[in-house]
Amino acid sequence: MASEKDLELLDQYVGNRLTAQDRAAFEKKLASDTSLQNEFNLQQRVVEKIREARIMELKTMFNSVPASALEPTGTSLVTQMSLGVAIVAVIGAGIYFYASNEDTVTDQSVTKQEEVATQLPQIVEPQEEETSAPESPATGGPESLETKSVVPPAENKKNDVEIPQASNDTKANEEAKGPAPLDVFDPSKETESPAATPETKTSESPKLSKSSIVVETDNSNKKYNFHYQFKNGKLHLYGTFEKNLYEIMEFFSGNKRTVFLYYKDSYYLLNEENETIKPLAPINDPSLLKKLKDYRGAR
Amino acid sequence: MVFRSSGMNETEIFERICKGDEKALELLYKKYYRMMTKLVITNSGTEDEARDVYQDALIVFWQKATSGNLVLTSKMSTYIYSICQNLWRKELDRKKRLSNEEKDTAVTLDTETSEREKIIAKCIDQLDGTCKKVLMYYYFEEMSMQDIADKLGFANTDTAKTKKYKCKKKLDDLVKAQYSEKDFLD
Repeated sequence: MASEKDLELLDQYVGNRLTAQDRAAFEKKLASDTSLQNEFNLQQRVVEKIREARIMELKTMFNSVPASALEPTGTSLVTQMSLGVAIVAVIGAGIYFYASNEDTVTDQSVTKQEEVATQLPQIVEPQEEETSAPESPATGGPESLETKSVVPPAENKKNDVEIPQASNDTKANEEAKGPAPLDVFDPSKETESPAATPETKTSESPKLSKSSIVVETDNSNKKYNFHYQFKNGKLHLYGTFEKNLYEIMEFFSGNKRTVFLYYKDSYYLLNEENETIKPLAPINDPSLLKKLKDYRGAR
Repeated sequence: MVFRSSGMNETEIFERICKGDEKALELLYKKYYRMMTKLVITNSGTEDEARDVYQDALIVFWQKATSGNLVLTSKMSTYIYSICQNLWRKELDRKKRLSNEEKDTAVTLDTETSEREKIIAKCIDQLDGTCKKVLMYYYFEEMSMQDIADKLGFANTDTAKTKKYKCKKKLDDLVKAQYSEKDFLD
């Protein structure tokens, strides 16, 4: 049986409170006393668990520090470089689109309507001088203020050219439209030009802007589950059209308008002739499909 | 939110840590988090591993500082960084060994020991808050009785000593009550 003094020494031993000399002496005694060894085994486990419990407490304290408090005070070099690259890219793209669309004069314009367009900034009106660029991922986040301050206003305006103007041409065409016979616009006239370089290609590309057609979807009609109808100036789509997944494409040729629907990777010609409800039939003509895809891709 | 060190310089932080000031430890944790975890992340570690290594390193630093066994001859950050380096090196070695061999032998678990440890942990939980603190400060931080008395508001070191003695006895009794002497002293 270990003496009271031995137990006290043992406590100091497991608590790392003995001097090197006392430690060595105690270890000598420990080696020769079985009873003391047994008590040592117990005390060592108990103290070890006390230490573990304390470590857990401290780690809990660390983990309760909010991540936001761990952010560095300054912007790292890598972040700054990434920002720089993003800014240059935005400015470059802005200049490119501005320059390529500036002198475009065509008698045709293509307008597009997307449900998602409602989430984008307002379509740029030509007379508008101050418009804000859409916030790209590169300019979002904590550094966005820096980015905005670097990009000159003029460049911001140019960026918006990517979503081109709802041009006066379009408005004029809308006013002039009438119950004209169906004359399907052939986009091949647009794409057949030998536009190899980006400059010439974009100079002849149609203008893209918001469509004037008001669309209403109806998924409650059991009889018409994939149909359309032009009525009272509106386009009614019958069926379970998933929101944000369809687009209306309008092609203007002189006073004539041809309307296409894009939905789930297929294109559909929309006949405006009368107000009857018509089924939606996908376009299969490969050449027309290619041209439509080209126009969609050009937005 | 941007971290600010509330105007405390390194020396002040270190002095407060030596006295067992947990707020100063938290401040230090925030201050060097990115710097230290980057070391692990840029050396094939994950964000979680980096955080674990940094926390372990800081606990080693804290334990040494509070026990009065640390005389800083370099900046605190340099010292903590070197602990992180050592810990991460060890962890990489351990992972390497594990991937090469010995998986089955390492997995062998002494369930009896594990059960006993659980019992001890439960007994620690049964202590009141002050007792837990006294024992933790004594056995983990290895604080002097004077520091324990100061930190917990005891009248003097004798009070701290008595408290520590009583708390330890209570814990021992709790543990021994749950397991016969034979269970533990085999």
